[in-house]
Amino acid sequence: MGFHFNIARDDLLRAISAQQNITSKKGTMAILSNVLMEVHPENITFTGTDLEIGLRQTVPAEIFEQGILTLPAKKLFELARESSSEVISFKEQDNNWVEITAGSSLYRLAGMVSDEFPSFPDYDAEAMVEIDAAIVAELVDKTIFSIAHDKENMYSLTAALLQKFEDGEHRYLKMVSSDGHRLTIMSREVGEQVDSLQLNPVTLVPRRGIQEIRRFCEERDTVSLGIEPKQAVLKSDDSLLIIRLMEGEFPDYQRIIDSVPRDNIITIDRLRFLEGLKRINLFTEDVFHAIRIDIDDNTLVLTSQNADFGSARDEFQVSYAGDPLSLGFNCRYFIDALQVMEGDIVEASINSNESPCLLTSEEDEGFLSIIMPMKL
Amino acid sequence: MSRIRILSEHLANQIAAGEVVERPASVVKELVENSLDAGATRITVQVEGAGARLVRVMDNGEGMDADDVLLCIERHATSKLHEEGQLEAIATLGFRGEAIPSIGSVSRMTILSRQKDAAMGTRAEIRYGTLQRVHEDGCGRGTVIEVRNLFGNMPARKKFLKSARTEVYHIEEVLRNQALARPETGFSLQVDGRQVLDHPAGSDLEQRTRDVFRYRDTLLPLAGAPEPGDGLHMDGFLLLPDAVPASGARLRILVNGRPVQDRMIRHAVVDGMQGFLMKGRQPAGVLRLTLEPGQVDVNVHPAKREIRFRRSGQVHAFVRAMVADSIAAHQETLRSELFAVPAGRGEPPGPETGRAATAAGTAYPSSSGGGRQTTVPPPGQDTRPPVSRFREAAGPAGAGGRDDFPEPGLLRVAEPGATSADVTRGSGLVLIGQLFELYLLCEKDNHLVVIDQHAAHERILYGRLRQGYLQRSVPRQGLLFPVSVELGPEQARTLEQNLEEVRALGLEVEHFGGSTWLVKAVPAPLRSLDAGDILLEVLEGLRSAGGRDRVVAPAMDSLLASMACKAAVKAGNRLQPEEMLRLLQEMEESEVFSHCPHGRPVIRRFDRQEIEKWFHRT
Repeated sequence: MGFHFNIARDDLLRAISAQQNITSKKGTMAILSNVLMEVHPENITFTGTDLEIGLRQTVPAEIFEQGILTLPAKKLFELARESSSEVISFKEQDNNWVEITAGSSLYRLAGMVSDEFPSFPDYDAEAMVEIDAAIVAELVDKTIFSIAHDKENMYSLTAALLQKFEDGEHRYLKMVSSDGHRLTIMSREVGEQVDSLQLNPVTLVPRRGIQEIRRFCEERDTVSLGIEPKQAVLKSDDSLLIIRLMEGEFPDYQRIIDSVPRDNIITIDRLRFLEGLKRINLFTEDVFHAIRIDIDDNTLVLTSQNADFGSARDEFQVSYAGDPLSLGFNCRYFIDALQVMEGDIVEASINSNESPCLLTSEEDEGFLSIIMPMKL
Repeated sequence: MSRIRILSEHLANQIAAGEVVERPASVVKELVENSLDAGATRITVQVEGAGARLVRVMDNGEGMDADDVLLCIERHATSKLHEEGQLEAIATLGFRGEAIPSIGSVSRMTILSRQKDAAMGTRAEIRYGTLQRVHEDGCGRGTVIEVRNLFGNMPARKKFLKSARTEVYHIEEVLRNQALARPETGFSLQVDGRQVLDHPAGSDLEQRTRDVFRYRDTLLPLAGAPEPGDGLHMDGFLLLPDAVPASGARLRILVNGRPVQDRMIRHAVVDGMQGFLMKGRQPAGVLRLTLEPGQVDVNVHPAKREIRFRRSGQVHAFVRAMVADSIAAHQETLRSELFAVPAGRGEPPGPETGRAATAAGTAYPSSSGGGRQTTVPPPGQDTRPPVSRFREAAGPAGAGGRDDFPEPGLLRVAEPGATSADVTRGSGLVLIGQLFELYLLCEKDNHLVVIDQHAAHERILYGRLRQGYLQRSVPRQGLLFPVSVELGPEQARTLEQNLEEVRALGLEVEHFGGSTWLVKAVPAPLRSLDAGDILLEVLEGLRSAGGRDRVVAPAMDSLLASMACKAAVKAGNRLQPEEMLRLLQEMEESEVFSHCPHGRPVIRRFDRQEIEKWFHRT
């Protein structure tokens, strides 16, 4: 007669809050807003999926009876969050009802049979390599902001490109993202084990998958990573994340990087630049955040104008020896890049308002950002 | 022996009938057109059995003599076309000489005709293509053609006829179209002995339009001054888009008196009504286009339903411009009807309230007669909205002089505390108050005026945003990966002719080679949309505007509209009287106020009679 178990409230909350990110997507299949609970003799596995991303977690519990059922993830999450009891008890009743006892509270929650729940994809455990979770997190953090949103124009830009390359003795993983107006690249050195990691010719991880990877890397020191033709797999001791990869082409970004001349360089104090941009942004137009950057004789002037409110101006010292420049940019693009960069000093290679601006920092090896100017 | 043979004439007629005579309505159309070409001023159509049993068309036209009656049943016999050169410039409705023999080949047809001066008429009977009998017979002046047992020899075709209701509907449509093409001609239709349509002779287009559409509301006249030298002329009437049910009426297009279905003209009308037509609504009314016969090819479709224009781009731009002018004229009429201060009532009211006096310090010239003013209070003055033009009647004293003013307090919807704002006037529009926290109720010249506050405000904001957008140059966001677009020859020509304009709209386009163009920068506000789509939409806009207006990329328009929508007051916002007056004033001052950017109406008017009918006072 169904499952019966006690589970620690914190364990349940941790598992279900991770699931809830995936199951909360709106869709036509009601069962996908549920989480599949499989109660084994030793533990429980929670599985949730939106067909694009699947997450499976194994959680210890005190098991009395085994069983299998799906329950609404959102209600389960809210129930666990509101509960003050340390242990929550689940007991399945007739007709897929589950009686949940949490301290003084008693809930009856309607479940759904697991028959309709999509089967969890298989994966190749052999092809996985162990990797430092912090490295994956950094790759994501420094590129996620410039992945195109779903509504934007180029479909394949709604994913990040994952690549690996070697430079002499060193091996690197690289993540690239672009929304068509800017491009961000982050590379990190990784160990030899990555040699056995097989990437696809073009490995595109969709934006939502990238977000889940970032969450997966929190609270973990190492993760195992595998890339298969159709899916990316991340694995830790108790959890498994499978992301369906996107098919498509990624534009030839290297050609753009190569086309930017690196001889006209402005050296800027990163934090000072960021501060100035944030102030100036108060007076930009809401939709496109246009600012003007004028650089002449070691002075950088930021100006913005809003038809309804007025205008703003900020200036500070930079190091620049070239010809005077006057350029237009989307302020947000600079703010996004400067916020994730490390180091006190950034270098911007700018030539004209026809050609892209390239941002790097000596103290942030592996990071590179390209921003297309705006003609005002 | 050769396997290729010339078709027998009978077979050829039957094949032609397949093209020309599709259903009973086609018979009616062909016969009515013949009657019109014969100069009839009164045409009566009688139908039995949905036209399959009998179609009888009677006219008072010039009639035929015995020879003509016999000749007209021969294929390619026509009185309307004598030499090849005339095909270039067809002025009559029929010309192919196919209709009568085609109909004759698939029915039992009787022709009875008498010329004005002849003593006797001629009667000819044709049975499925064979002439049975010809003899003299007495009859009235003109021609009567009876078509019985249509498709009697073609059971397969007969099976394809739709329900009686459908066939009768098509016949009615034929007559409605012809009635609009010739308002001076009388038309009547009897179906199984019952009078269905009766349009008296000697009408004009406006009256005929009302009759045909059974429409009582305002008609927007389409009066087109012909462009010099083109011989292009247009007249007609559009129905007020808000006043007709979505499915009820439709647009009837007549080119040189011929009802046609033409997507290009329909598109031009929809274009011209942009912003006044709700999504999913179709324009309705009648549009009569006259142009030199040489400028249009009617010989494209056997039933002449489709036509080709020699210079379709020009016709499109012309129709669009005329429709836009008519809409704009209506807007001005509405403006003066709503906001004009009637003579004798615009005088400053007696005692000003203290608040109105401080609001702007000076009274605006209130005898402006509703002309458009965009007066701005002098800087440094009270920043409150300049409401002085909307004088407030100071309680009973203020309303004293005007008998037709409602008693203050009776119609009070304002905040309980606002004692001074019982009745308020906005340049002739008397504000009653707010209804359902969404509608402004006003009174004007025996009308109750209901205004949707959200739609009204949205339109004002949209107008302002659009103007700002047009005045400034649009920042262009460079693309990292230029987008290549394939352009057709016409699109490429439009682009080359308007490179500067396209650039001013924020697009940077370069010729890449062949038919390929590269978009290198897009308008910054639209940067997340597909660059190719933006370009194609802009080109389409440029083409249809024909260089008359400044074009806004449609995507930009909808962005501006959604910005305006978000910023506008919503349903459920309780407005203070000052705010409502301000809104009315801004409506008066804005270029377009009657429809929100999505084409939804802002204003509805109910006249006094209509309201009195609710209470059976009439």
